[in-house]
Amino acid sequence: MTAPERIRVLLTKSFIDSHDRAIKTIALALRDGGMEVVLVDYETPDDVVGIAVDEDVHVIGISFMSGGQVATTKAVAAALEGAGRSDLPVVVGGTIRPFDVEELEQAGVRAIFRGGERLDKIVECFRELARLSPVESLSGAVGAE
Amino acid sequence: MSVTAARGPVAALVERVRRGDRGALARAISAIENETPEADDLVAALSGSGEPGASEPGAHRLAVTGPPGAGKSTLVGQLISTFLDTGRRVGVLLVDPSSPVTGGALLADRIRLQRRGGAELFVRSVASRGHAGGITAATPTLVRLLEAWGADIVVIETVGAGQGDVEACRVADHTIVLCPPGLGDDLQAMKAGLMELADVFVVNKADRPGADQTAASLGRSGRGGRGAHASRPIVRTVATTGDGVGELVDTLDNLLAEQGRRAGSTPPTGAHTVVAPRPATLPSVFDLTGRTAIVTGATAGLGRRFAEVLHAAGANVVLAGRRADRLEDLHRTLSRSVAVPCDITGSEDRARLVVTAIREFGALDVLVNNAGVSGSAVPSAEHPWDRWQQTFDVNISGLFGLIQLAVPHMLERGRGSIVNIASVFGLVANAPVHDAAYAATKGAVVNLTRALGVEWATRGVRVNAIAPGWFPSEMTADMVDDEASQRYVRRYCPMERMGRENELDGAILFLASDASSYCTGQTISVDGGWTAR
Repeated sequence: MTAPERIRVLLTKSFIDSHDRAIKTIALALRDGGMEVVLVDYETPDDVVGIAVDEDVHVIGISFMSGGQVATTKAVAAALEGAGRSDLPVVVGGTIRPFDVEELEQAGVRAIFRGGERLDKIVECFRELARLSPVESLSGAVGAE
Repeated sequence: MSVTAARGPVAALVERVRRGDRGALARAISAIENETPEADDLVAALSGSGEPGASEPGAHRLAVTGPPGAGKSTLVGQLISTFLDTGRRVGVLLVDPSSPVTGGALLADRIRLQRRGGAELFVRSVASRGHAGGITAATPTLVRLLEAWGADIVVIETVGAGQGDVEACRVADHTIVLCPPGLGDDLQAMKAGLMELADVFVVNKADRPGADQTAASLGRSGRGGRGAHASRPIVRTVATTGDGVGELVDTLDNLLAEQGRRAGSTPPTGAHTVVAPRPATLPSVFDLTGRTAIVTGATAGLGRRFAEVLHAAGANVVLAGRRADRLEDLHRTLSRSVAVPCDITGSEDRARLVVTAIREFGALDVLVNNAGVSGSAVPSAEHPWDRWQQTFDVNISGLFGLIQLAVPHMLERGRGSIVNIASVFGLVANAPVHDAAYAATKGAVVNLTRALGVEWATRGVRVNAIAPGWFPSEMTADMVDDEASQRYVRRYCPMERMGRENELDGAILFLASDASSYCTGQTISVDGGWTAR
C-alpha cells in the first residue's frame, strides 16, 4: 500500500487543557512535512471520533498534558469501534507516565510520544501509519458497508 | 469526455450520502478533493444523470470572508449555532491555505466553533491546495455533496486573503464580508473586488472603537452585491458574545426571501450554473500557470491581446516589439511580464529575445509569432521590390529565425508550443484586394507550420497556426469606419462582419495550452466563415 497523496491528520486535546505548546509544535512539524493537519479541541471522546470520521483523516493524534490519558484513550478506542472505524490509527503524546504505556498499548494505541523524541521521527511515524491506513478507494469504502 | 451516469459502488456511495451517512459523505469529499478515478462518476451521480428527479434541492449558500483576524471563524461558529437552533441542517466548509512549498496545511478554523458536532451539523476543514481565489477548486462539488446530504445551509469560510477571495462569491448565494474596525478608510471600502461582491457587510468586533466610522465608510462604498444594490445591509456583530448574530441571520433570510425562495428550495439557475460537473478540470487543460510565452508584435492589436489572454491564463509573458514605450505600457499592466524592445528581422535582437525569456523565467514554453506587416495593396506587376523584401523579412524570415532559436530549448525539454499567426490570405486569394507579398508570406507560414509540426511531432514540440480573417488592428484601422471596406467584408464574410477583439482568445489559448496536445501542423481559421465557401 502506498502513502496517500495528501495525508490528513487530526490533532486534538481536551478543550479544558490549556497546554497547547506541544500540540502546536507537532502540528507545525506535520504541516511542514506536507500533511494537512486538522487542529481542534474536544469536549468528549465521541467528539474525537465524529470529527475524525467527518474530516476523513488517516491518523488521530491526541495530546495529554493534564491527565486522563488512559481513560480518554480507551473511550476513544471504544467510540471508534462503535463507529466501525477501529482501523483508524491513534497515537498519543504528552505527559504519559511510564506505567500508562502498557494500558495504552492494550487499548490499541499505535505510538506513544512521551517527550524527547525527534520531530522528524514523529513526522515519519505519522507518515508510516498513514501509509498503512486502509481504504483509499471508494469501492473499498462501499465494500466495507 | 462525456459524463455518464454513475453505476456500481459510486452510485451506492452517493445513495448513502443522500440517506444522511456521514462516513460516506466524508469519503466522497475526499474522493473529490483527491481527484480519485471515481471522482468523475461521483459528479455524474450527484448531478442525477440517469436518475430522474434525483438532483438535490439547493441549500442557502453563504460565503464568509474578510481579512485574517476579522473573526470569521468565531462568527461562523455563532451562525452555525443560530441555524441549528432554528432547526436547520448545516454543512460547513472551512478553507485554510496550503503551503506552496510543502503542500501541508494547518486547518485550525474548527477550533473556534462552539458546536463540535451533532447529527444536523457536518463540518469539513479544507486545504486550499494551491488554488487561488480563496476557495479550493473542488469547492463547488463539495457544496453539491453537502446538499445531497441534506444541508439547508452551506457556509463556506474562505482563506481570508481579503480581496482575492472573489471566487467564493460565485459559489455562494450570498457573500458576507467581515470588516473589523480600524483596517482602513473610505478608499479601502470603495476598492473594487471583494468589497464590491459583498451582499452583506458585517462590522465585527463592533464593541471596539472605530466601529461607527467603519460602518459609515461601508455605507459609502457604492453599488455591489447580487443585483448591484446601491445600499447593502451593514450589520454590527460581536462574534465572541453573539451580539448582532440574530440580526445577521434575519438579514440573510430576508435576502433569500427577496429572491423569492426559502432556504432549502432550489436556487436560481445563476447560482447553480457555477456548480456544473467538475468546473475545475474542464478549464485546467487551458491552464498556463508557470509557463512562459513570448509574444512578438505585442505593441498593439492582436499581439497585445494575445499577451493579455496568455497572462490571464497564468503564463509569464515576454513582450516583444519595436516600440519600447508601448511595450512598457503593456508591461505595467501585466504582473508576470518582461518587455524586450526588439526588431525580429535582426538576428541579434532575436537572440536577445529568446535569451531574455529563458533567463527571466527559467524556460520557454510558448512562442507566439504574431509580428507581421502587410505588403503593398497594388497590382502585383507593380509591387515595390523593397516592400516585397521587407514583408518577407518580417513575416517569414524573422518568424523562422525566431523558431530556430527557440526550438533547441524546447526540444531539449521535450515540450513546447509554437503558434504562428498566419492569415486567411495565406489560404485563399484576397481578390479584389491585391497584396502579393502578404499572400505569399502568409501562405509560406501555413506550409512552414505543417513542415515543422511534422518534423517535431514525436519530440513534444507542436507547431500550429491561426489564420485570422479581418480583425480590428493597426493594420486594418482604416477599414473599421470605412463604409466601402465594411461593404466588402459583408459581401465576402458569411458572418457579414469583422471579428471582434476577443474572438481570437479561444484559438490562442487552445493552441498555446495542453488543450491542443494532439494538434500539430494545423492552421485554424478564425474568420467568420471566410474560407468556408
